[in-house]
Amino acid sequence: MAELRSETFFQSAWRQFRRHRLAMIGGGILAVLYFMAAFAGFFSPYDPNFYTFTPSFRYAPPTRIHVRDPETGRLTRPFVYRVKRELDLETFTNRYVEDKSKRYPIYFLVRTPDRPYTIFKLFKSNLRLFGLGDEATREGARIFLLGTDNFGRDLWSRMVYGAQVSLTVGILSVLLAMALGLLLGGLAGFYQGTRIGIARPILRPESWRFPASGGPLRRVLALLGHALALLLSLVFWAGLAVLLAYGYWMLRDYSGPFERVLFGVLMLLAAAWALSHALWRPLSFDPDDLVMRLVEIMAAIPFLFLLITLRAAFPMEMDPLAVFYLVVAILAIVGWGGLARTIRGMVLSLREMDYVTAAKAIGVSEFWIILRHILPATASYTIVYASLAIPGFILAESGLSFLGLGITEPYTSWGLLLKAAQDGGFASFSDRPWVLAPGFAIFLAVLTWNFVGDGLRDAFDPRRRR
Amino acid sequence: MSAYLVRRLVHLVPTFLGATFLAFFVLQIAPGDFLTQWALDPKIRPETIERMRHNFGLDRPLLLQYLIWLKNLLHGDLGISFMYQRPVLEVVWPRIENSLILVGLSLLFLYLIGIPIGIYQALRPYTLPDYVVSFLAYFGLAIPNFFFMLILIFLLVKFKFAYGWTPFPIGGMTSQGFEQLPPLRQWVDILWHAILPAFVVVTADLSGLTRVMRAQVMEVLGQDYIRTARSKGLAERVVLYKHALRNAVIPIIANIGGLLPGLISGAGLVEVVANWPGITPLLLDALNQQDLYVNVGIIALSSLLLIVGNILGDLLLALVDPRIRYG
Amino acid sequence: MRKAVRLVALVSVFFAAGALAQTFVWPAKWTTAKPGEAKPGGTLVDYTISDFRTMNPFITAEADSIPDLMTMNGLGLAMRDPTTGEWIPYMATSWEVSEDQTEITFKIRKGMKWSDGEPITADDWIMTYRIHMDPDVGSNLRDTFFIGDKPVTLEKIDDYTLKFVYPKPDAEAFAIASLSPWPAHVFGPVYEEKGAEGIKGMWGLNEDPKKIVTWGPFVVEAYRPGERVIFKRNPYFGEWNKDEAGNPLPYLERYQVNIYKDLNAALAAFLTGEIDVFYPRTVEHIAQIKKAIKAGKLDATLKVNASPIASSQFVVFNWNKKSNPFKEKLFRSAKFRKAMSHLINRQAVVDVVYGGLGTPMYGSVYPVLTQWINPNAPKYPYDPKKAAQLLAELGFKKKDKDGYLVDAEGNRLEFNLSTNAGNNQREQIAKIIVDEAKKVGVKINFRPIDFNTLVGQLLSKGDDRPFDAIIIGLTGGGLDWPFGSNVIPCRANLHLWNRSGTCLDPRETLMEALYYKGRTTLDFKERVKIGYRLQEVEGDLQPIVYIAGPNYHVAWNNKLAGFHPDEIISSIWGSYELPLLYQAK
Repeated sequence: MAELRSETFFQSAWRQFRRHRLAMIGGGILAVLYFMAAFAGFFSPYDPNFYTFTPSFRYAPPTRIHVRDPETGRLTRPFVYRVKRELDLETFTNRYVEDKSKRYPIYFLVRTPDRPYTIFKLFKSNLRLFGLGDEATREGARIFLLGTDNFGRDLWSRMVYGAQVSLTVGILSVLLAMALGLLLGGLAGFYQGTRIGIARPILRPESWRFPASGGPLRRVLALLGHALALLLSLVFWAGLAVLLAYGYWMLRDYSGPFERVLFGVLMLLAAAWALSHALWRPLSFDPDDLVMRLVEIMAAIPFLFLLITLRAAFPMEMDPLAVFYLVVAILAIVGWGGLARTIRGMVLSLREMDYVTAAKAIGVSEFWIILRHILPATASYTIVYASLAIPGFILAESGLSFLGLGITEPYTSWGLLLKAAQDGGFASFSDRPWVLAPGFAIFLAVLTWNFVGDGLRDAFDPRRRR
Repeated sequence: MSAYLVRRLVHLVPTFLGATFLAFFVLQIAPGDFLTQWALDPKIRPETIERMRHNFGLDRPLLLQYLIWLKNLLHGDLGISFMYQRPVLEVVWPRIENSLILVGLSLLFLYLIGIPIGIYQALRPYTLPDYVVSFLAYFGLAIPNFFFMLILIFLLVKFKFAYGWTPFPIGGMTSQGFEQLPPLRQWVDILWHAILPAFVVVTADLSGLTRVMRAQVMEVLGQDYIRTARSKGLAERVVLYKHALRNAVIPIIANIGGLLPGLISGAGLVEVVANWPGITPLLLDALNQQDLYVNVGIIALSSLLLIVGNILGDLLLALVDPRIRYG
Repeated sequence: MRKAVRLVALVSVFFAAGALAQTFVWPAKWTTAKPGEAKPGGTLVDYTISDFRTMNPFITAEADSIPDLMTMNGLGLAMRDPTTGEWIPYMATSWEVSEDQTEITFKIRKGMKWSDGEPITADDWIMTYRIHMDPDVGSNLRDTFFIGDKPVTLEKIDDYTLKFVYPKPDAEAFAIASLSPWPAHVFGPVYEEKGAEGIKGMWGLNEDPKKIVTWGPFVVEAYRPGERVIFKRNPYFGEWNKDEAGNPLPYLERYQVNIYKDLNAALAAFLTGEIDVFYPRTVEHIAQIKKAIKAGKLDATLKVNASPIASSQFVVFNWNKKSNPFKEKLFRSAKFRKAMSHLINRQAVVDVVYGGLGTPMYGSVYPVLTQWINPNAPKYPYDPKKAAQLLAELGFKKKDKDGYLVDAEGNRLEFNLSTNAGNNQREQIAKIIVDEAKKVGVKINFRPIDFNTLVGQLLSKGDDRPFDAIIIGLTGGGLDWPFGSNVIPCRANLHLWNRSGTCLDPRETLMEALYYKGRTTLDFKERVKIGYRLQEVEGDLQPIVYIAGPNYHVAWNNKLAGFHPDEIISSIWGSYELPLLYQAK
């Protein structure tokens, strides 16, 4: 049989994606951003937490880079001067004055043995893209591309390092939210209508009929399993009974006479219901119901509320890195519901597809069906979802930081840097506009991720192909 | 239809209980309670704090607190705000009203701006105007709202310095001397204050709506019945408004129900920066100070509205789309 | 004290001639306004950063509450003269202190009226006291009426005479007696009929303002939730409060307090003239205001560095660490704590955290309480060399491979430090401390933790408590005796460093004895001497290592006048006396 040369689904998607100009530009910018974040040490002249009090560089503006020789006026190797801080007590602002006695040339691919850094926490290095060198640093000369913060730390370096957090927060949260959404949404959709037993009724003969087929080992195992299930059921019913009794007893003290009667009746009804299940009727639930109720519950709680309470529920006395993962987890918990709902809907219709029914008929295992037939069909939607959700999470991280619940020092993120700008208020606009740069970085990342998401959606959607 | 309604109302119960219990639980596993903030006050004795804790019922087991709260809820009592020493509803309601104004106005803006823009884009896809409009919509999305509001306030202050007046008020909800104004002027005054924050809220949602609208209209315009209508020789305007639009707005209408809880959860951090006395500043206070029943009360109201909103959305959908029937 | 009384009394007799009421004359030295310059009318717009919670004086708990605003922060029978700090009679005309100094009898000023026109008599104080003292009401003031475990009692002698009876002589007797009254004819019937629950249900935020009654200069006119409260002039106040020219006070017609949860919004409102007073918190605020004034966009007066603020900020080390004898021994060593004090770069804290506008602190008395500060109390300012030397004396001479100090047994000099998460300034202070300590080889692991957890750790009792060191602050020390009754005694619950229940260091025992001695000494000079001694012992013990605090600044719009003269603008006296403010433009 002669095989026709055809492009795969993803190949054609890529071809479509490349035609989306904004998406290509966005993708390019993102690639640069992520590359810089990955090799933050190389791209930053200083450590993000490097500062000195003598000399102090509190809120120093971006360093002026000179390219002309002051004497001859000709183009020369870029250099900077050392600056000196003066607090103007008249206006309460800092002024930085250049000390023109010595020039400090800017070196490219400079080594800074005084201040080594690590890449991915694995490799040590001290090679930096640009800088003044250790000698000049010791003499108090600095190069601040984007000025400094109140400690006098280099904002450019902090932003490059902050990118590590801000850019990965989005991706990690989305991955986690996707895992949750796909798993729960998929389960809900696929098993909708199947009932899963919780506890076995005690009086029903099936509960006591032990399986009697297979070899001795299997029979013993089955017996044990059965006994365990029965035991767990009993524990479940006993627990429920205790809970009901406890609730009734406690509430009795806090109720008026009429309420007491009302509660009595309610409790009796509940007890009768529980007893009927415990004795005779199997208790089961639809996984779809469970998941969808859960999604609804999450949707019912306002976003901000969920963020804050979840954050408050976790201990604060954690390693800053753990806080980072916590932020990721919180964002994911807040974000998985929408995806789960959509995936469930898709799976609901997918499982009725002919090819799935056919696979079921020839006895393919459920696991394999889900893995091979159902999930791939949702892939394109999921990818688009992810690329459009990431910017949302990046923004949410900045919101958390605004509330002081985000990443903590010594780590930094764009959100944290932007909060510093916000706290500075109007002074951030009028006296030191460079502190707004993190806002611009957030803006850029969100914008480009959206472009990429748009491109991906058009690329994966056959109806939108041009 | 009525069977459907009953089923949805039955679903309401577990969702409501789940949401409120979850809120209760998460709020109470956080360390400390409302009274912890007084513990470092040198003027207050520890015995006093213990006594207050008992008076507030905060020394009871968690489950019991929840059950008592549920019991009181049956009387329509959402509990007492510790901060205000008043029934929760009395504290929360005026704030919800204020938030409603802001959110309502921003929704109005959203649809008034978003839908026409989306249609416009769909009619001229992949052209320069399409790109420019998308870009502008993303622009709004990409600036965190709280920061955008601060920028606007800064610009207003600058404007005031330059010209001695401002086109919009600088934060707040009412002007000085509001109480002396006649009712109509009062409303004008509030709307005037609401415009800027509402605009900021809109910028965050605009790109989402235009994107959906654009995609919907484009998809509908590609359908066979549109082609049929066109080939019948119907005027383009009729095709667009009578056939295409009606089908394109269906998913948006279906979503309206989902907006209800958003109405009471307020406009978020914009309210804080713009000094709008909505629900968010109150919620932040309540969360900070662990004012338990205010928090749970807001969750209860919001989950109730969500469910009602969902049902409403379904009904609306059935109204617009005759193909949909609920049994 | 007596001299001031006589002076005021003289003036009041002179001007009250012919008037029915016994007048209180607000001295001209409390304001910058020239006599007779002030005109009636106008509005003051002030602001606060947290929403109001209630109008009910018996359940209010927050600062700047509506009842506080109506009564000028709870003035009562006596008030302090801001120029001298001494107590003068206010709603009383005079008082008498008994021989054994446990009773004070006040003669209540006659002719005072509530804002609804009812007369103010001794019954109002009696009822106010009764309600505050009812534990079921939950008044925040209740605890102030206890000295040790015994309550201060209040007796009515006649309609215009009241007697306070104290369990023992007390330095804060007048602070306790200056109780602000509330109308018995409003609260009394409800309290008699429905008890504490009835009181709690009164005067909520949506109460009809017409039902609110006060003796103060302004009474509530309107409240808008989360936005502002507006007060209007109480005409009856002017019957017994006059300026030196005999004009009724207050001058202003209205007083308004806006609520801004976000300080940037408040700054914007001040810059554009929507509010008249602003309290800058940061050097950035000041720079903005300065710039606007300079550019001629804002006609305002700015008082920078008026005084330090009235609160403390410190590192406390935990003395109760049975499970870790190494750390316990370390934290109990005064030498170690002195070394830590030498390691705190207070100037850097002031520079970085407060933008250069702050004050270093070395002891528990707030720097603003100048008359209490003992200039000779030992101080251990920033000096890494001295710190290293002290640590060497403690046995930390060598450094390990990571560059941290170790003792002879190889124990590394390392401990944990925390503060309440979300407090930016404290987190920055911690960073400075950590970085400075690292330079001499002390490893500090800093971790911000949740406020409530932090409080739980600080207040835990016993000989094994869960923290190493915490940065935190306290507010609320008095002018009469600036040492905390909850802090200094070894069994007190805010004796943060040692909660074992007993004094562990002889200097702690001495401090406790000095505390009680000062508290029961009524003679001010004598008390100050005891306070000086206490500070010396404290300096030597260094139970708490103090850091630094921001300064108090204030700015006001020049359309208002009558603010304090510069000498009495401070975090304690504020920037104005409400009745003396007037609209100039």
